[in-house]
Amino acid sequence: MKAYQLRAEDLAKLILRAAAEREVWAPVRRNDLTLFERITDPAQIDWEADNVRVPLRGLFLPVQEALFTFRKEGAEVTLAAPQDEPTLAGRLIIGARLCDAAALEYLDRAFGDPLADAPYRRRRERDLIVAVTCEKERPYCFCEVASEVLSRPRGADWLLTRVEDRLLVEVLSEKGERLAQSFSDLLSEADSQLLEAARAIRVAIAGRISNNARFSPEGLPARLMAAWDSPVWQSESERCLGCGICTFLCPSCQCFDICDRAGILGGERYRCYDTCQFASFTKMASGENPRPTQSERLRNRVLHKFAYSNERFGATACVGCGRCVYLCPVGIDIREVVEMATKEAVPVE
Amino acid sequence: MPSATEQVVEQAQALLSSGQAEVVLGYQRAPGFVLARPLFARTPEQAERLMLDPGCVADLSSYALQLPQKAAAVVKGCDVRSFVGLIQEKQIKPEGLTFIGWNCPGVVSERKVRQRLGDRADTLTAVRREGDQMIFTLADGEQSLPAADVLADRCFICKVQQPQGVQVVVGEPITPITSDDPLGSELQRLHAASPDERRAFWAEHFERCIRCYACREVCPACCCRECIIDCTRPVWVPRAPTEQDNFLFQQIRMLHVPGYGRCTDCGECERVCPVNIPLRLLTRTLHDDIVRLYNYRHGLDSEAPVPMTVYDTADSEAHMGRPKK
Amino acid sequence: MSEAARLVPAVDYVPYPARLEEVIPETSDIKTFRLRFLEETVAAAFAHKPGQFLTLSVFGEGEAPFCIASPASEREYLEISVKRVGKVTDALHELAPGTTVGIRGPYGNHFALDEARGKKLLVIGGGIGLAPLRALIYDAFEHRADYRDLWIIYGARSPGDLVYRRELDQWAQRDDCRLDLTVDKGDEEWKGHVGFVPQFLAELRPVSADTVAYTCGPPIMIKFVIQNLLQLGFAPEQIVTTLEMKMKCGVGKCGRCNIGPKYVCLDGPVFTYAELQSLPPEY
Repeated sequence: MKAYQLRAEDLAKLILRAAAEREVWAPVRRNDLTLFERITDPAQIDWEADNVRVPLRGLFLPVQEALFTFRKEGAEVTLAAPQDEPTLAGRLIIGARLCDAAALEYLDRAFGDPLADAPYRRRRERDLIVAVTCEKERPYCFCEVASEVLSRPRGADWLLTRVEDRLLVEVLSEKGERLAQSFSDLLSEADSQLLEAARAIRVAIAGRISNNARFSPEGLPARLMAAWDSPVWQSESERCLGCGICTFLCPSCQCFDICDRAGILGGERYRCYDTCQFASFTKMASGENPRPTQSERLRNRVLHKFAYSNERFGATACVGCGRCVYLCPVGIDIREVVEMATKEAVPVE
Repeated sequence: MPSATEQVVEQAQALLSSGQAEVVLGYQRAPGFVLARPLFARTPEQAERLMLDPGCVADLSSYALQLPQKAAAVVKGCDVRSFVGLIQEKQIKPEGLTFIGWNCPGVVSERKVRQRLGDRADTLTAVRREGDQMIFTLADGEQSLPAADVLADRCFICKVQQPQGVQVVVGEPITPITSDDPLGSELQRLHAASPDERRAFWAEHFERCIRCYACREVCPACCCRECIIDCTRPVWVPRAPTEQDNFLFQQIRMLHVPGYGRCTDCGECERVCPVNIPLRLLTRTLHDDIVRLYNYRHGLDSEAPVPMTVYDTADSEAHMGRPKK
Repeated sequence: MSEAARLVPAVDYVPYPARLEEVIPETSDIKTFRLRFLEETVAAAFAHKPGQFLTLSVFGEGEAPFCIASPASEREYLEISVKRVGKVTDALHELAPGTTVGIRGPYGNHFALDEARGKKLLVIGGGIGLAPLRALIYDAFEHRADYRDLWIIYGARSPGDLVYRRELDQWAQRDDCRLDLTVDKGDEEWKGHVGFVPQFLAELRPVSADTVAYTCGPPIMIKFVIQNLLQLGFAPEQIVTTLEMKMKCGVGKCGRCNIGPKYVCLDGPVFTYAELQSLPPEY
């Protein structure tokens, strides 16, 4: 894949040109919070925030969306597709972090084989993502240890890295290359010095992040499965409130519920976020529940992120973004849970 | 003079060793977190980790219903009100429950701390109050900030710095830092605004709600075995987080908690919201109505009936358009 | 997104409309529903195998998964048998014939009957668990020469709780299969065996050699049936069951039906006991 350079001052120009022909979404700060919003002016973008609160996956699997609508006339029912999203050229989403982008690459697998999720795939095929390299890390960042996020950038179409007054534009996909062609007047080929400098930034951050994980990723899936009966699940879930913060704000979570909302004349079927942390998630109409207490539910979340995903899709679902760590109202830290659970367990051959 | 932390550890260990408590629910510090987090201490070794400092914000009565009969809880004056509220409603029994009360110096707002300390807040290992200052122990040394800059809003109007109805007290009483209610002007502005303006204000906020239900789960008063919002037969409020239904969910919660006089203004709902919805503006609106109409504050008297559960002919009906007799 | 990814078929969660043709009451809380796709092309393309399920939509109430009880050879309609337990099944039980419902499927894996060719089939059902087994039984009837034996053991709480009563009478008349019925508790008219299915199975002592056992019913029944089959010498690979789980999307996307890394809607609902043993004990 090719690499270009862009003068930092030309980024605004690029964004404005893009905004003239497609929707541009970027991090915007409001109410003490940074979220992806549609922008028309580059000045609206919040470049200071570490990461958006609601992750990138919220733009591809939204908190709620209509699957179809239906009209009832007596015993007859007619179905219709939901309101179409803008059929303009795909959205340009700029300002995503590599952790969120890597999570999207994981979701491409989870929402793919053997049957793909159509609404997710439509958006993924249509939209463009410009990721930006982080300039610093926070103590709750453990992206590199969780999923080699920095050493294997993925999930986005471009990766921007700022080096003084220039931006390295690394193209990560064919779509990204086509996008680069459309801005050929602003981009020039990146020189090796810029490439080196950008790589050095990522390597430096990755190096510092290796101290943040508290657990070793070596053979983690097997070690976690061996910890199935660990008392840690109970002790660490005791203070869990059973809310949905950790999972709703996780960049790689995918669980959803499907419900109908209707009156006499018709209505719609929608899907909305659901979470394995809610007691009712697996509760059957008969009253049986394979995960009856928060202990089983915490275990499921952790094992899904670090073991099941590996077995099923060949990739760790957790990308170490840290949101579940710093947003948990009662300080349940997934790194700590993994470390405590695997400390004593020895995998059986 | 032993610190509050030393005292709470000593008390907890005594309660556990004597068998008076099977578990002591308190706070512990963890690196990288500004606020302390809950700890269920069941052995004297585990109790070593207990501590008390202005980062002990959480209202531990969220766990009241899962405590065994013989238990102890570390409580600030505001927290014990939440426990007592549950005793009033007969959700928990007072027998066997020991309160370790803390003369609270005021607790911090994480948002305010992070606003002032920036990323350095990540390195916090301790915080203490000295006079009118909050001293933060960070990686690069100590940082002193005016306490008034970092205190949680509700601490400025607190009337229970010295907890009532507790068996044990730890920590020295300290002069509270008071001021006019920080929420006062915003509440006034909202109440004076037109219904359309208010609707627009809340629509902007509830657009962000993702229905994580952290507000409901953390609320000490929300303890229904099946919440009406989760009911599927029938569906009272659709599950999808549309702005209208998000607001409806919260309206129902507001009626059920502060609207029934069950809210102690612990502020936890607003603290835990991951998308910064100013929920206290809603809780206080109804909470203040209850104070004004019925002269009632929840959780101060374990025998007092909760306003909406009793009928008194002397009750004001002015808000219903009928003059007081 | 890679080219390979784009070629994978996608699910958009929109059901195919179908008419509820007939409602057949089975017991006080179970009804069988006969469904026909509105569109012929859909009916022709829908080819299920015994063990698979579909999701049924009662528009306005929701969607729920049901195993397909009609045989694969039946091309005119599909049948599901539904116990009234919750929101969607309640609404379904109230529907009159002629109502339009929705179908998505067929989903899940299936009873690998072709692997049992040349062997003896032992089918053990309890209550409504006979529904997925019915599709298997008819498939076996249609290819009877492929199997050495077909032995059906079926029971329910009471005579009134037995499903497919008319067909049970027909099966009892057939000379190419053996049918043994039992009820937990009899009534004045009941002349047959009284006793729980697992115990009845143990009393009947089926031979394990060259036999594949298929069982479906209440979880507690399955548990003891499996126990007794093992005691009779059946290997875990010889025991096949279908799992019940809360499901929504039916295609391994909504995340809720997982047992460890497996999804019941994709890797199941049919599992051998050997496969279950390799899964975390969480179902």
